[in-house]
Amino acid sequence: MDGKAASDEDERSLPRRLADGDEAAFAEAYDRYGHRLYRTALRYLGCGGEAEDAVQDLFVALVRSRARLASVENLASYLFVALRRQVGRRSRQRPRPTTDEASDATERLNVELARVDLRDSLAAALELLPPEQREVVILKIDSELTFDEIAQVLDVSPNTAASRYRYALDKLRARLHREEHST
Amino acid sequence: MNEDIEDLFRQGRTEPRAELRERVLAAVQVELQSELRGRPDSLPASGVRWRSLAALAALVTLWMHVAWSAALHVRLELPADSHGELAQSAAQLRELLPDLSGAESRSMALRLHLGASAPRHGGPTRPLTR
Repeated sequence: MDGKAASDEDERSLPRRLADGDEAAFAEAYDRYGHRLYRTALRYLGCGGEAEDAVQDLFVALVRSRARLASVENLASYLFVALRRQVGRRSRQRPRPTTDEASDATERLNVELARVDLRDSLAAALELLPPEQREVVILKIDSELTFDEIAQVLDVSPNTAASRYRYALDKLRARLHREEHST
Repeated sequence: MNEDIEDLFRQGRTEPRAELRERVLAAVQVELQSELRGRPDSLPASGVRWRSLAALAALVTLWMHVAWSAALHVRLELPADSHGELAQSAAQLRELLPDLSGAESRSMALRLHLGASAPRHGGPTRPLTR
């Protein structure tokens, strides 16, 4: 058995080992998905500390409900669905911005777009996308999920996920293009 | 063209601090160990509680079954020779209390009769007589 096949086999057996409470399996799950989960949480929450807390809470929740993992076929989708729930809970606990505060934030982002470099402009432009398109971009680029996995996480068809991604990238590109020509 | 945008995003990624791995795995270890510690203590406690509740439920069901069977099989009938006495008692009650209707006097006579025929502790059963 070559290294790749062994790795695939390890990945397939990971949900079962997690369900058994194998501590090494949790370390393996972190090594496989920890960075992607953190990046995704950071993108949703915008705060490194909160993103770290969300990842930690996710793993603790995973231990508590590990019996369910035995029947999980795609661990990546399962983890990102759970992360979305964690992030949603944290977002709800935050004080909501008033309409004025929200429009101020959008205005600040627009101002920011004019003065930061291209990478930051892209991150700021992402914030301005419709939530459903923004989410697909985050899950595709930061979480490194396939369209099939994104479809499972968002409970939409793979085609919908792919078209949302395409529209989102078109919008981002157009915005960056405007930025380049305005500076 | 998609690749350029995706590359830009990738370049702007923030990776987690190295300590996060230790922190997460320490939390996992604590959770696993606390479950293992908690299991021997908590399981019997909750097991005993469930067994007690199950036993109580079984007793209540049995009691209801017995009570229902008894209610179905016990016939509350007067002996055949009591009907004359009952009519006589009702008539006597109507003499004493003329305002009583026929039904009321019969009902009261029946209750008196049943009360008088019920077995008493430490004494013989006595029929209602004048």
